[in-house]
Amino acid sequence: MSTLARRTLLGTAIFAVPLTAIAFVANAMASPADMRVVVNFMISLVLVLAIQSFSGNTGIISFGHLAFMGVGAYVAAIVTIDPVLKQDDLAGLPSFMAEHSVGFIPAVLLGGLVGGLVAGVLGVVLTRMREGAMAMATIGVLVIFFVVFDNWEGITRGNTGIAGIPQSTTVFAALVFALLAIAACRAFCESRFGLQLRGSRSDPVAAEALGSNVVRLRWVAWTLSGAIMGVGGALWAQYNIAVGPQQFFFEQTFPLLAMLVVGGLATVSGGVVGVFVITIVFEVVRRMEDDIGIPGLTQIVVAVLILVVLNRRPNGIMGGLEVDQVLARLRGRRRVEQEGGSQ
Amino acid sequence: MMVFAAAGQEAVQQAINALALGSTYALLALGLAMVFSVLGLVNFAHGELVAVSGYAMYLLHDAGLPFAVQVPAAIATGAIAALVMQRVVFRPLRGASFITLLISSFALSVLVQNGLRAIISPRQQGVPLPDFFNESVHLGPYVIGWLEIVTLASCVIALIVLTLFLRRSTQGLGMLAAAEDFQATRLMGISPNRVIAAAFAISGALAGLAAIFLVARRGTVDPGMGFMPLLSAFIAVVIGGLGSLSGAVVGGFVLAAIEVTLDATLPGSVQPFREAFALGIVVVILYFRPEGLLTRVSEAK
Amino acid sequence: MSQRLLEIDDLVVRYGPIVAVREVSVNVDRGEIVALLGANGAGKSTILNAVAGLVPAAAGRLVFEGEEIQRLPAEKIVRRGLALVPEGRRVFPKLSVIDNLRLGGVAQRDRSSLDAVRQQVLDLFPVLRERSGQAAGTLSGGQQQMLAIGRALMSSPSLLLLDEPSLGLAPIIVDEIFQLIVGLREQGTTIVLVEQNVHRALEISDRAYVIANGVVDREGPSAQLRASAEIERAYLGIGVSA
Repeated sequence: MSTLARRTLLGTAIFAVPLTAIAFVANAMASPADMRVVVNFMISLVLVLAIQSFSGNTGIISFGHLAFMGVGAYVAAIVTIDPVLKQDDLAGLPSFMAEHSVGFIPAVLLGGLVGGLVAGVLGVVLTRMREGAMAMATIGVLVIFFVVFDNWEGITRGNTGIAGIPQSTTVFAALVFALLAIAACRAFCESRFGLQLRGSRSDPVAAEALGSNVVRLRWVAWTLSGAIMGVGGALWAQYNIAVGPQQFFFEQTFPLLAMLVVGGLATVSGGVVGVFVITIVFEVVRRMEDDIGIPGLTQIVVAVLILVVLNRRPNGIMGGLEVDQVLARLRGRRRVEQEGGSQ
Repeated sequence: MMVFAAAGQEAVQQAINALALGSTYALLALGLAMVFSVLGLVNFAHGELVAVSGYAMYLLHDAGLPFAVQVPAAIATGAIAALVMQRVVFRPLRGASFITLLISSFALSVLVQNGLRAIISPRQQGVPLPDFFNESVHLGPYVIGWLEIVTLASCVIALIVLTLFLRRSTQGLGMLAAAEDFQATRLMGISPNRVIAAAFAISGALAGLAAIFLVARRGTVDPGMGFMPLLSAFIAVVIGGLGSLSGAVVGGFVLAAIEVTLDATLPGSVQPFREAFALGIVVVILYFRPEGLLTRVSEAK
Repeated sequence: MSQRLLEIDDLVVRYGPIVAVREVSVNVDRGEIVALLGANGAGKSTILNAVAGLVPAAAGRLVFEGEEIQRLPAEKIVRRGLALVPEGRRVFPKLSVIDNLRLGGVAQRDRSSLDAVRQQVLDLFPVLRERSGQAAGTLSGGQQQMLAIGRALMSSPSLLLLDEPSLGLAPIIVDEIFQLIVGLREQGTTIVLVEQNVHRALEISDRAYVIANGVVDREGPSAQLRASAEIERAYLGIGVSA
């Protein structure tokens, strides 16, 4: 078995066990409120890993990815809701879209496809830019899409948003897509593309000399991550049953980026750990916030958490390692200790 | 003839609006560029410097103090808040990567915004300004608001003063040098801490000045008030070329010109998409000049 | 006043896990020209950067004019009269020639002498006076090197560290630079010179150290080293790959 396949399988399997357990436990006994937390946690895994697959490999942070999540979500909303509802609410749709609807899986795939397409087109311009400028230009992407979602009345219903989306994303469906996202992102990371991209970070000139065209590599990563983001958006829309422009803007960007950097941007495992930690912190503080009555306390706590983590561990909790690497190191250390003890 | 005269008049009027808007963007973009050029930090919390300065005006107004006191207070608050940010948050992160700095400033921005929300109020607060700002002057066929005149004049004066400081004083020269080659500046005997502190103080003061005009235009303050202006400043900085001080100023005016032109020319039905069009034009500019308007490729390397 | 101006004692410099300089000791007396020779990557520039305070010393002592300076940052060291002309010249390309010189004067301890020192530097390099208003980035390589040296002289240093001053310059300009170095010593400036141009460096220096793989390989009076064929071979042996 190739290194790529072995590491991907191992890296996914390690997370598959606890995540599957969480899904089964939630399915058996969770209250509706807790169930929401669990399913949104699984969907957040897809979203955060989508950003990770670009930012982790290129070292360029993106503030614009929620635009692709929004694209996926709106696409899923438009293709799944009942044609009867569409006639009233979405008058701007072409007739073949207004008269038909599709099921869960096609909607998710369409969300990913359109998300990837949109990212691919924008990526032609963005990936040519230098790192810092590109990071800032992604902010522009977010704003452009917000303005479009907010104003394209006939298709998005503008500020009101679209409601009445069938709730098709089950906890197990979310689990499967989360595991697929983990596997896909890990495979990309271990692939020739991923290796060359990360090589180009430490030395772009050498990477060019070795024949890897950094702009093209970045474009591939960007488009792929846009597609995964679209999938995440489609899952999200089909669980939360209503979409609106504010859900794909800065306020929602913050928790996703927080998850990414707290766990560690550089690795897939960092993304997973970050989603887990921030979800728990969010839930705990949110419940306290209602009792204490300080508006914005959750945001304040998460912001402070980010500042402290970045100050103490600039590479996040995982410190730039995958979980299987951490385990291998621990095992190595134990072996050394045992050998040391036997002498 | 009448039609042409009206069209010309309209154009002049628009140009004045663009200049006033552009000068506010330029102040913010210049502050961002100063900090970026010495520290490699794109400061997301720059918008909160605007908000904090705005709240200083609100609190002083609430305490019954006149506008003449609020103005210097806003500028000083911006500068002090920027110095505190740099000392508490950014100094311990010296040498950290671009992403770490960027995300930290993003977190700081969220922290300050929600801090204002929690401590003062999530709601808008009124800050009435002297009536003077609502009046206009008639210059021949043109009607120009005092607010636009004062904004433009103040920004021009601020830019001149800053240019003189940077070019003439040794401290200012040290900042320009640090923007070009930080290590070599240390070899000249110039303390990096002082250069960085000065860059933050100036960027904060400029944000405070911009806050005065933003508050004057809105008549209110709220915790998120710095956000949209900051976005414009970001775009201005990217247009001009990240790290170029003059580029930031030029970018501010270019962005304002794009916005005002679209405002005047787009048909009503697509007006709501104005910002998307403006950013679309920016993206096209960047496609042809990925390094920004004022950065030569050789310099960037 | 003691004869010893700079003493490098068992200096160690690390870049992460890599040891770039290991226990190097170098002495410089007042009025000397001391050359540090060796192949690319031997650690010569790192030694100068550590002395100037740009990179931290992991171990060892740096004594300048009788005081330890290994814990001082670069901006404090230059104010004590120890100036580095860094590799690659590092002039501020967008600033004018005269502004570059003004920045060099920031570390001048005798503020009242600034104008006089500037005149001296401009007398030394008439070409800089001609181009005083021009952006430094528009100067030729040789002129930029002169500006870099002139800028360092603006602080009237007692010790001048020169890192590869001849790098990338035409032979005729190299002659000029080396003559200048000799002239500076005659006016009382002590000089430490890092060079790959071994012959020229041995011609003008009093003593030399040969650095290889981060340690002192050989040291002695330059005339003696020049006579030694071994050093030629040793140097060429390493130098071929550079």
